[in-house]
Amino acid sequence: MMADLGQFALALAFVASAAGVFAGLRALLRRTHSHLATSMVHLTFAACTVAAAALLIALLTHNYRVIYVREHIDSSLPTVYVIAALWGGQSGSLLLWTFLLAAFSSFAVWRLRRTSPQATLPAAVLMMFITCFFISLVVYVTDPFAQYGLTPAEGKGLNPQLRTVEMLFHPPTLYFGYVGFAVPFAIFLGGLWAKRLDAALFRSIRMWTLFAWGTLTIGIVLGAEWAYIELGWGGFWAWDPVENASLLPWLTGTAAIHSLVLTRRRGMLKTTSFILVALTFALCVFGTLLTRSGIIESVHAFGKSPLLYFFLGLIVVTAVLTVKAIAARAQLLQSKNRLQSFFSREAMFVGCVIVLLTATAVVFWGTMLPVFSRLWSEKKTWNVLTFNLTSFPFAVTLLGVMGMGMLLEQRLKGAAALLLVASAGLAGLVGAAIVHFTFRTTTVHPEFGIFFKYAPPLIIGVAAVAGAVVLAGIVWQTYKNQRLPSLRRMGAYVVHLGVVAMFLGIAGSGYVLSEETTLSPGESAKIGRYEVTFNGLDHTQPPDIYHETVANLSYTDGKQDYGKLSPSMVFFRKDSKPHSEVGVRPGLRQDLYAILSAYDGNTASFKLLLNPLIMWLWIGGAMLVLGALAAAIPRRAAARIKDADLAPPAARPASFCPSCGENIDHAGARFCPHCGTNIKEHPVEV
Amino acid sequence: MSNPGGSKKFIVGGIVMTMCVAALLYGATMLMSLDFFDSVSQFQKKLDTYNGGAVRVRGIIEPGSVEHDKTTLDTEFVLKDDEASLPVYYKGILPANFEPGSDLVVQGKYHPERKVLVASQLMFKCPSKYESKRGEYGSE
Repeated sequence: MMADLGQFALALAFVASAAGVFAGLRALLRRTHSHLATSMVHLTFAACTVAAAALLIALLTHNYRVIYVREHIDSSLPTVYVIAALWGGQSGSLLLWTFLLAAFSSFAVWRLRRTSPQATLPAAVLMMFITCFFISLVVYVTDPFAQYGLTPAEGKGLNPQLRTVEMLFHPPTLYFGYVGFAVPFAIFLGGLWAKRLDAALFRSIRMWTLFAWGTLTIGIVLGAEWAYIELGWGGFWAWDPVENASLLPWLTGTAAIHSLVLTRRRGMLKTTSFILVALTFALCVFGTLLTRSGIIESVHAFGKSPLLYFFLGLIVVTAVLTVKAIAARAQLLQSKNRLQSFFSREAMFVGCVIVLLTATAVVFWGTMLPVFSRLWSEKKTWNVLTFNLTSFPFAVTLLGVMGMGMLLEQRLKGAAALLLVASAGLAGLVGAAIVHFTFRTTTVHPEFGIFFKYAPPLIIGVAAVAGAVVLAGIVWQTYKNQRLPSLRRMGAYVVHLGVVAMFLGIAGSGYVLSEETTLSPGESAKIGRYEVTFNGLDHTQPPDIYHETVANLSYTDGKQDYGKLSPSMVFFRKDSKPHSEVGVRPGLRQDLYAILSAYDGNTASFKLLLNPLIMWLWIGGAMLVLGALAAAIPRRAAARIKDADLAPPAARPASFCPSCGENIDHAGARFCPHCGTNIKEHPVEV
Repeated sequence: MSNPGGSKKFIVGGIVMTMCVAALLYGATMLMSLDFFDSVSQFQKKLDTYNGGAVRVRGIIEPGSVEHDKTTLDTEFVLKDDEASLPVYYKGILPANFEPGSDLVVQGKYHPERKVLVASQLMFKCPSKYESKRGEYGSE
């Protein structure tokens, strides 16, 4: 019953979105409006909601006649994981993709009708086209509502590795990001079609970009955290094609956010911003393609999966639309300002965009090498070391550009600037030295060799310089204005400090220490400065699980106790292979990390690890998300920035606040609307 | 651009940067990439030209071939496909999804005298992404 309802709802959604696309295109070509087209967006959303709800209900009622339900759950599975099974499989996750896209489109159209009415219809048409595309994918390629002739008695259950908290949040947040980037692309294209690139339009684009970027960040960081505690996934980041697929749109999305700042405030880099927004969306589609079709890992050469042609088709459509729009609106996209100097805040924004784009190209090349290399040789691939080496220069350059941009933003001159540079440089040296000499006794990973001896302190040094500059900036701004920076500005600072923290965590992975040992109860082993004592095994039977063997380890450094770790082995069913659950005691300095690898009677084998600074990766990730959230909060003052496009620059020269550098539109203003500086006291530069 | 000096700087800077990146990519691809064999039989065919470097070989863990010593953590198993098989040696804790019959990519170096691939890394695919590969309906 539910399956029939779901199938019907999907068919309805397909018809509604297709009708909306046709009606909208007709209206666009005739330069009229079509209420039918925009209302179809909402109808599509309603139908997709019913379809997604139908699959969810089929899962919750354990309707095993539906193939998808039988393949992904069983009757012993706790309810939260039954819900998570909605995105546990291919067709369910594509349905979720479609539902999210329909939901975002509906919300975006509803908002746009008030803020940018002219751009609404073209944006709605594009979003409906993409929705329609995904519905056809769900219906024709991977039908989530396919049924058996008879109802099987029991389902197959969810892979034990997926029964974690991360499974509940990592896939959906990633989809939020992937899907979210469709909206700014549609709005930008809509604005270009309507020939109106005004402040309201850029506000919407900014909001959606920040939203998608923030959720994508959550998804990526949660994925890294999951890989960190799950064995066999190669630490927090293994440069797996699927991981890279999420990193690529994140890199271009970050570039887009920076480029859009210059576009909004200075009328610069308009074409670049548009290309970056379009590229980010295309890379989201590419990422979905990579994870869903398996072209990299596939045994067979290209072109086995029908999904491949669907997705490549969508990427080609995106590229064609982008190129056509740029050609048709060349005048509108013309830059209004030029870079004044190589040593300006603007130049650092441009530098950031260039570095991120080049890094994207390099990671893309490395990810696709197994496909590309067949053009001239055998199938080749980059390993983790190659990826680490090639991305290293970009990490350092990016941090450098970031620190430089933050420094120039303060517009310090003379002695003050020198003092800041000197103290930041000192902070970098001291930071690098402290970290290096604290953890240096660690053995160097044999495969990584000499590179890892010098890369981590270098990264930490540059990161510490950048971090010191940002912190000094916050203090300086607060002192000068006698109040804390605005929430938005603070958000940006927090994000950049988060980047510093993340690089600290990444660099820390160069100092990992590991020992393997077999112990009888009462015996101890040493790792780093810690003495680890094995206190014996406990056998328990938690609910829903057949058997669990827990090892008790206690850590001490001779003076102080560091508590207990309980790595365990879980047997989900009587005949299943044991699943290792690691024991972790997180710390700001380092994580104590233990794996129970085997046991025999009372004797147990362990792998003990010290993971320095890894906690900073998660802290930095959280700062990125919180900062983006603060920066995305709508500000009433923002509404007062009139569109610089509306008045020609000759009639009213753009003036910028001498303190914060923001655009000040009304000529008579006495205080900067952004930072509150008294403008009359400063000479205004033009 | 109306500022010829500036545009010249941009062009020169752009060319230099592009060349650096191209050199980085070329070096990484030519010197630091591994051969990736989609199947054990492909690897066996290329054994004559094996240069001693690290390779990645994909195959299936032959059921019944896994010998794992719990105390030393030495593991020996046979990686196979329809036509050929390859003995693999690995020391360390087995990843959670290591099971006979499952699909696996092994990274390591081949020892011709012992005729064994000494693995440094056993790689599985993220199950949340690749679950359809278990031979479900609706996938490739």
